[in-house]
Amino acid sequence: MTRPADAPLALPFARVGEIVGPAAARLVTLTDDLAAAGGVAETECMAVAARQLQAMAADPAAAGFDAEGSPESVCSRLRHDLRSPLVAVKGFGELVLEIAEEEGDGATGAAAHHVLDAVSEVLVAIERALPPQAPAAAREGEAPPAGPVGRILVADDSAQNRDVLVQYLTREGHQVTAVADGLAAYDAVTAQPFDLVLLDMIMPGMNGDEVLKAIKSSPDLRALPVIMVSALDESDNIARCIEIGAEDYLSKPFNRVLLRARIGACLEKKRLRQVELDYLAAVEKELNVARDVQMSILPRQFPPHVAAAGAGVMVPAREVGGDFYDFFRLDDDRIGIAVGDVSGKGVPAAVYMAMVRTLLRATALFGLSPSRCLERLNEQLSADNERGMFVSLFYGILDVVAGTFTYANAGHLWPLLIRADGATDWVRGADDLLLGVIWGGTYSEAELALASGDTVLVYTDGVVEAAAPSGEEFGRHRLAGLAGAWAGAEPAALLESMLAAVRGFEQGQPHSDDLTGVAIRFLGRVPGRSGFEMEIAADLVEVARLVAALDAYLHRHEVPVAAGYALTMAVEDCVAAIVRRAGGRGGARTIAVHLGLGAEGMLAEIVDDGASPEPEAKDAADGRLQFVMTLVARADYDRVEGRNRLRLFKPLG
Amino acid sequence: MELQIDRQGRIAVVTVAGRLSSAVADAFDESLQRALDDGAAEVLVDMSHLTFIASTGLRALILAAKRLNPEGGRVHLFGMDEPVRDVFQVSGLMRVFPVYATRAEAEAALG
Repeated sequence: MTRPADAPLALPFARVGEIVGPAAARLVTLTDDLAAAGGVAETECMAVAARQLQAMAADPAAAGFDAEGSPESVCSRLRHDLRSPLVAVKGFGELVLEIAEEEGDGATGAAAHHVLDAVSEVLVAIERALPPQAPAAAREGEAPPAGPVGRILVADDSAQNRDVLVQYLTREGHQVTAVADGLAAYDAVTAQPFDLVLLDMIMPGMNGDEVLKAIKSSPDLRALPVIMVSALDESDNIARCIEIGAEDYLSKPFNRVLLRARIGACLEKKRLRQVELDYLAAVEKELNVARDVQMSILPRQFPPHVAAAGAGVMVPAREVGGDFYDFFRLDDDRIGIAVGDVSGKGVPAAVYMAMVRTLLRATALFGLSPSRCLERLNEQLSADNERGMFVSLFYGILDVVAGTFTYANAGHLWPLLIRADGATDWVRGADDLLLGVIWGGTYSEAELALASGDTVLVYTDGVVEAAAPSGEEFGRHRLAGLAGAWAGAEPAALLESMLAAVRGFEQGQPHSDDLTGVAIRFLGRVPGRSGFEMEIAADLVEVARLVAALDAYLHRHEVPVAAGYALTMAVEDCVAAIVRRAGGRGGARTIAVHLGLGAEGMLAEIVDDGASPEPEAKDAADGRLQFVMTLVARADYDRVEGRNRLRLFKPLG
Repeated sequence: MELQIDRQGRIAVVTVAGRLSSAVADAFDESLQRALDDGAAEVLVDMSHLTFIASTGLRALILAAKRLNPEGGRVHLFGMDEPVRDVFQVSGLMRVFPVYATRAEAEAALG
């Protein structure tokens, strides 16, 4: 059916009457036969639709067809209006056929077959009567097995189309909601979740493509798949909709096989996308668990100490590594610090790290030397280590009375010693083996003499392996070169400087490993607690006696008057505060004061048996009791053997 | 990472080049284990073109060494460049793996 390109396009009403009319009449007869045979409600609808087609074919104008517009658009709309009733006839016909076959109702099945054949004849007749335009619909085959099911929204202004789709899809097992216009469709998808939308292209109010645009521009709805439903001759519109983001299209009247296949494909695609999203969410959650484990075992703050200050920092990588650090007070004079790096990443590394940290604390708090401690840990970690996990671990003990730092190093990077004057040196080790590799290894130990203001900086390979955009590594020599300038800084500030240097070097490159650092600074030796010792009842008269005895002791040992006076005043102030609170519940009954005297200064220790915590004693340690803090250089508070202990350090000279 | 494993009699010769990072360490581990599955009694690793090794890469070598140990086999390393040597030095793994400067030395030691 072609026409010369230059011939005017005549309105083909007469041809339609001639060619489509007889086919439509045959369809009416056959649908009536079917209605008589089956008698179900659907067959009545089919008969009504067949008559609508017949009327439209016989006299379009009388059937309500609007013949205004260009010949092309009139033909296009006429094709659409002729096909529309067929949607119902074909759709219901297939449904009736399927039910009849299931129920073994041969008579109805045969009648339905005749109807469907007649529908095909009408479709051919329409194409013969009208100028050619669209590609042929796909041939129908046998029904494929049932696909995935989902929640489907059908938006179509034709009640017949809606009914057919709802029937079809419900029968396939889908949950179907139907609406009659574009706005209702948009309201529906924003109000409740759907897996798929079937959107008619031409609807009153808001057209299908406008609804599609609205859905695709909403961040919440963008992922919702949409299948456009259109007449065959709307290929330009279909192409535009695919561009906007429609998943697929279907043309009317529906080919049941295509409908099922396209809906199935859409739902399957959506399901796979969801599986992928769920998986990513699970992985993300697991990473967060690992990060939480990692962060939760880090000590919140360095134990306050008259002779040492410290800080730790860890910046976890996106994919959690296995870094950790710890510091703990072993006894009055000794503080342990540890930094470790577990092999691998993610949850296994985080769990292993938590275990190492627990073992370390349990072992170290027995007071074992660093090397013995690592040997014990290695034995425990090497037994039953099927997965071949291992950890590098540096463990050192600062002894504030001896002024020493004793350490052992199991395969960890050499820490840096930053002297008070800015000189730097490596905290060298004997390159002992990582923990967990071989059972029964031995670990060596070394000792550094520390002077007041010296700092030990322990870090992990995330710091030295941080990379610049060029690929160059930060490197431990660069770290050593910079560290001298950080000599005077408080530990927390020193670590900040280190992180800033690494970040500046990375220039925004994401780091692939955790960045961890611990700095411990020796504030100067404190004397042991020998010399003066006195215990008093919590009574103001007793305080006067204590102060007199303390004065006499300091005088006898020729302590410079100013320093001695300041310390005595600080002790008196703190003891008086304890006595003032002694009347209340949980107040102290006895207060013991010890004083150690050394070349560096004096260390006073005030121990009371009041309930924990003694807020004012704690305040003093926190530096909030400004008066006491102006008198002495440093203070710390601790709860020892069920008593409150406040320590005040006053340097000499 | 570029990885090649050639079998020379009872020895699996592993050539690993580039960056042995955590991202590729699993593949490295699997290849080593497969070589042992195939019956290699000794492993010889050419590190001449290895620029970086992550802890997970070390783990793969340690696992292979542990698996060979009961039969007296070992994982031999040669050709380490400075940065990689540093890692083995600091981690104490020089004591676990026999390390040679060149392939000739390693082969001489293997007999």
